[in-house]
Amino acid sequence: MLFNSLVFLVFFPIVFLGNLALARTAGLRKIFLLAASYFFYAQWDYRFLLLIWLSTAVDWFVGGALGKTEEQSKRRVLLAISLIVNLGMLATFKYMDFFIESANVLINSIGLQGNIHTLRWILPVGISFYTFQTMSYTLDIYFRKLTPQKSALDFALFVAFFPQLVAGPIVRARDLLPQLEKNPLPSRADLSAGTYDILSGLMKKVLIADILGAQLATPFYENPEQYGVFGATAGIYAFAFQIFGDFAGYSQIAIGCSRLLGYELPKNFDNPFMSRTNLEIWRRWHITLLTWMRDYIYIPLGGSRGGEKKTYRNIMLTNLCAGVWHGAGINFVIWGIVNGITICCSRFYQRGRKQRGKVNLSSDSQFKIWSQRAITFHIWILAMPLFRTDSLADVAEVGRALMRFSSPLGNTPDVPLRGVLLLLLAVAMTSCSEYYGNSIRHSWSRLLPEVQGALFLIFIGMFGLLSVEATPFIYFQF
Amino acid sequence: MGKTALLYFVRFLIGAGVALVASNAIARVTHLRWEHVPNHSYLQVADGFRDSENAVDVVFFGTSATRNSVVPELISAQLSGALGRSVECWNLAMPNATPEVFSRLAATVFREDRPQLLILEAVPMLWDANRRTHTPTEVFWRWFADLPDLIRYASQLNGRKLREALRGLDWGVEALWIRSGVLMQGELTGSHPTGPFGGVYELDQLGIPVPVDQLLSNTSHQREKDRVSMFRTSPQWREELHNIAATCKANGVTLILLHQPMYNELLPLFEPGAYADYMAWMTTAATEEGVELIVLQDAWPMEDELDFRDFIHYSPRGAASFSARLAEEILLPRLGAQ
Repeated sequence: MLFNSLVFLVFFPIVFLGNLALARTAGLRKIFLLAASYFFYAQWDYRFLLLIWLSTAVDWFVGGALGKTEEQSKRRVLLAISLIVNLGMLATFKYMDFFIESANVLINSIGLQGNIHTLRWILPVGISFYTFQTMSYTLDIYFRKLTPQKSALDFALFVAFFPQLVAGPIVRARDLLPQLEKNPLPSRADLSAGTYDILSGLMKKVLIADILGAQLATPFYENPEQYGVFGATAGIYAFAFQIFGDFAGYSQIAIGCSRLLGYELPKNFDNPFMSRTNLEIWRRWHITLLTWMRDYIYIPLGGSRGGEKKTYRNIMLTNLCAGVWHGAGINFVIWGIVNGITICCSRFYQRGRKQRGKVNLSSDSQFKIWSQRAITFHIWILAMPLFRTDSLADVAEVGRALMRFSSPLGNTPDVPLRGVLLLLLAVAMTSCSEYYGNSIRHSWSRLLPEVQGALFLIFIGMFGLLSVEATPFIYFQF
Repeated sequence: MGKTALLYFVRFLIGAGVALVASNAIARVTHLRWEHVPNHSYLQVADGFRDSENAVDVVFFGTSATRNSVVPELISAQLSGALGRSVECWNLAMPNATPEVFSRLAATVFREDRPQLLILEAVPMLWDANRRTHTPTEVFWRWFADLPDLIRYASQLNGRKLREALRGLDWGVEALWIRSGVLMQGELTGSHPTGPFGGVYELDQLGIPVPVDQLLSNTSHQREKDRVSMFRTSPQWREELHNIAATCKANGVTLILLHQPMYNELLPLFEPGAYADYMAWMTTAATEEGVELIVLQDAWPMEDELDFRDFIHYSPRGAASFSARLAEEILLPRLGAQ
């Protein structure tokens, strides 16, 4: 069930009303939300509910056991059980074919015949998100930042809460579990903010991501050999805005739905294209994943505590993990490494500034600020072909298209003009939603509910924001 | 129970409900009907027809079946040669068209005795009531749902297209809406009408062999069954046929219903008796309207796979042979008699 489908338009009001109707009986309300969440997930493939239940059960029991023992060796064993189950699920369903293919290549390279069959299993939607979520619970208890949850129901709902189940934001136990205990109801401000977030997220998805994807990015990435430098440039820019509209849109809808139910999810995007360094862009893009990586990989590795060399090593390892988290393939490995390098460079640059006594970034001239934003953005999008393509050969083809100066229009003479117009539209809409988002949100909150309802319906109808044949969100594949 | 939230929800729904009712009312009053939108494209050919000052002899209305089967330039050339005068033929068929579109188009673009003959498709695809039966609510949703496409379309505008779009303003709001779909469809799919007189094939394309993978031999029965709906006729379409007949009569245009041959394995895919019921309906309707019905399904059996792209649409070879025979055996006697 997709947020941008008509089915969801029926599903969500039912859940909303049920959630209100059961507000006084916290237990029933949570059971209802949990059942709704499982129903929501089962729309993709009910069989994979078993994996959610396995992950939930293991971390629930491991978390409880960790809370009861102080013995370090036992605690390590318990943590290992959680990690093995969760990462094992990921390894089996997400990475196994990659491992097998890599093994075949390795075997072939030493002169033997490598023909181990790949599994070709379907990737359970959302597995990367909810496994990280459950692991964060166990890790927090292990690191004594959290006490074990007493209520199994609350824990199960924390894992499966449908707004964020399939594509984040990746919620920490310490953020959501206390809210579940308090049994909050949505305030008037929540309701306004929730409807605004849903509408704004849908517009990002349908008007930015889907249009740019269908018109520029997908045609280019499917046939880069047809494109010259102009069309290739348009395609690469288009994908940058497509992935932003798609994922930021999804996150915003998830946050909006959650607020309408009375719960607050963490922010996942914060105007990333306004970043001035590559370090900053990763603090503003998919914030919940990157903070997860920071807290459970970078800091346990030593963070910046072991000197410069170790800091750079830790940055590289963390980004390598972030790359691999996105997908099983050498592309994602290299993408993670490239991001690690750019972040290391950013850090190196910032240290240089610090040593020169230029600590205050806001004192820079507007020209310098915008130049830095432009450079950061372009470094970021130059790595995106690694993210978008399936193999290094495809990346090379994209590179060849970018270098095709001899026939800059390629076989797609109409693409550059269309690209410029669509990208201008995307930039305008992205700027509008991100830069002026708060004032638009404020204006929305001052409207009467009747006016909000009318505008909501008109926008949805006018722009076809909900449809029978909705386009899936890109991050579902992760 | 959260009273604040419930009250908000009720008020929110009231606002949405009022907007829905108001939008539906606007859609009704202004005839902003979804039925027109997917019938897109190719209205620029209709523009050409309307704006041309030449006498016009034959016009074809229909779906993609007609669009793929009639080569207007070939028919014009053949009839001009045979009659010893300039004959002009237009193919205004549109993919996915419905009778309502042609009813409106005829009312908008026909002038007295122009054309002399209107050949209206009688194969079931045009008259299948299952194809377009939308409630006003669906119309509303679909109408609005086109806006993203319009934004896409707007991004493709250049001077020429803009002029074409603006030229449609005199068709009124409704036609402007159709037109936006029209131009957009052509742009997005690349399926422009290939000639100024409509149709798919131009004269110089007829001899070019079509790749085998585009011919019938690679079309599965199941695909065709999925694609073609179960053709049931409707009172609404009957009314539209009456409207077209009345428009023709008012303008002195001779209307002919033409059932071109489909691939012979198509019919068994339908419910038993459905085709016979359809033909009975069409025959009765033609009789009641005083219109000639020509059924070529059995009379001109086309059984060679190379003549078809799929079970309904002709290949260039099929279109060429069909158009030539149509000119010779159907159109020439009727134009000659006039």
